Amino acid sequence: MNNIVNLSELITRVAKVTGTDTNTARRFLRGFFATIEDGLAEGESVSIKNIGTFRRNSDPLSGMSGAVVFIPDNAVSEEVNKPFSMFEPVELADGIEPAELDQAEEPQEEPATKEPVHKPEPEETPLPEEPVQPYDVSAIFEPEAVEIRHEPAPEPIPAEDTPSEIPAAPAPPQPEPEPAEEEPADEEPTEESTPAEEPRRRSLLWLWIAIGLIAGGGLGYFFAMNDPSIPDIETIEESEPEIEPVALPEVAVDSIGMAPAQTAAPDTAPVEAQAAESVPAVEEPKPQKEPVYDTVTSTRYLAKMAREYYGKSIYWVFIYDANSDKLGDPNKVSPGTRVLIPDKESLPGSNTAERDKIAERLSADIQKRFK
Amino acid sequence: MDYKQFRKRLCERLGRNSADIDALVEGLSIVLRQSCAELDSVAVPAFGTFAPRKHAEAIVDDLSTGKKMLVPPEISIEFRPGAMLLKRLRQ
Repeated sequence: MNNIVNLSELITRVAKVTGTDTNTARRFLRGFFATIEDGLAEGESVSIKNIGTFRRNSDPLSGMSGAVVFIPDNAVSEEVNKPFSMFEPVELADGIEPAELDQAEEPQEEPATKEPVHKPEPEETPLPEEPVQPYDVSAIFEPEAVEIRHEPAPEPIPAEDTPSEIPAAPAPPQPEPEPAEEEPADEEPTEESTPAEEPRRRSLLWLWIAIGLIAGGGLGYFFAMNDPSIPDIETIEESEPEIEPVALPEVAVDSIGMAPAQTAAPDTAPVEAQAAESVPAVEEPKPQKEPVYDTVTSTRYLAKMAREYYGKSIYWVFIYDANSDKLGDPNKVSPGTRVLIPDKESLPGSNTAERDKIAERLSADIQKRFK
Repeated sequence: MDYKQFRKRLCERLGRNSADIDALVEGLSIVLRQSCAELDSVAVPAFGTFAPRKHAEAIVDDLSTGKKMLVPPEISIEFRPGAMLLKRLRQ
């Protein structure tokens, strides 16, 4: 292949094929090519059976190398292309040419690539398989091996076996001895970090909302404390400790005695009067303390006064009852009317519930009276 | 010049009959075909070289149909004239 058949070899072959001697073949070949040369020199094309046609090329662009054109005979072409005679031109659809070329080239390249791939496999495949087994075994027996691994026996066995076979194996057994504690710790941050920022943002959002609610509650409490309604709260708080001793009717003597003792210091009221009035505890208020007066205005009615002095607006009935001689219809009290504010301790009822019921009853009576 | 004229001239040059010439031409044809089939070039001094050339399979546009054709591999025979032949043709 790709050899050059020179004249002597050509003579030998022709002589061998035709069964003649080499001199005959040599003379024949010389006369053969000389005749063709004469014909071309005369400007003629020379056609030779079973060989081809020689003709001069009149195209000046072909140059001297293309001065003579040889067109092989069909028999020669068929004989030369006999190995490819089984193939025929195939019509291709548009866009298939690269795939066709790849498919045509792949079967030739695959056997060449497969051979080197198979050679290293038998050497490499046993190596990765052996380290995989200790991993699987340790992973399967992790819960049981946690206690066993503290013993010296099981630990050196995988550690010694793996490095003897593979240099890369000692790395995996090191994290194995303490997998129960380290693995979950490692996995949790990775899971939080990978799925990611949304849960963190949500938690921060909820945190800010909680902080906002707490701050809002604090501000609301601060303003509530500075609000004029504070006395109401204080009066309620004050009324509750007073009620507790009163709630025990049998000990009423002590409570009554204690109450004036605390309040009697500034007052000059005699102790005898208190002892005399100890039995009707409900009707005490007027004589006990100095009378407190207030004035009704266009924005300050009995209910508002009751709320200020007693903590509940429904106790207006007690103010009205104390000033019933002055006041007519409670809904038509004229501004500027000066009313007596009964002492809180003198209000009827032993506790707030009873006092509320009395106030409601009085309110109903008063409203019936002026309907 | 057709083959008959060529054979007549060759018979006159070599002093042989046409049958011998046909046999020798047929023998030369066989050697030429065998050599080219093996992609061996045949070099004839003072005349030229028959050089076989293998063309790989290729996609060619068929001008008549406008479609692309996958052409199988092919061996063609090129003739490169020698210097002496070119010199004589030039004269």
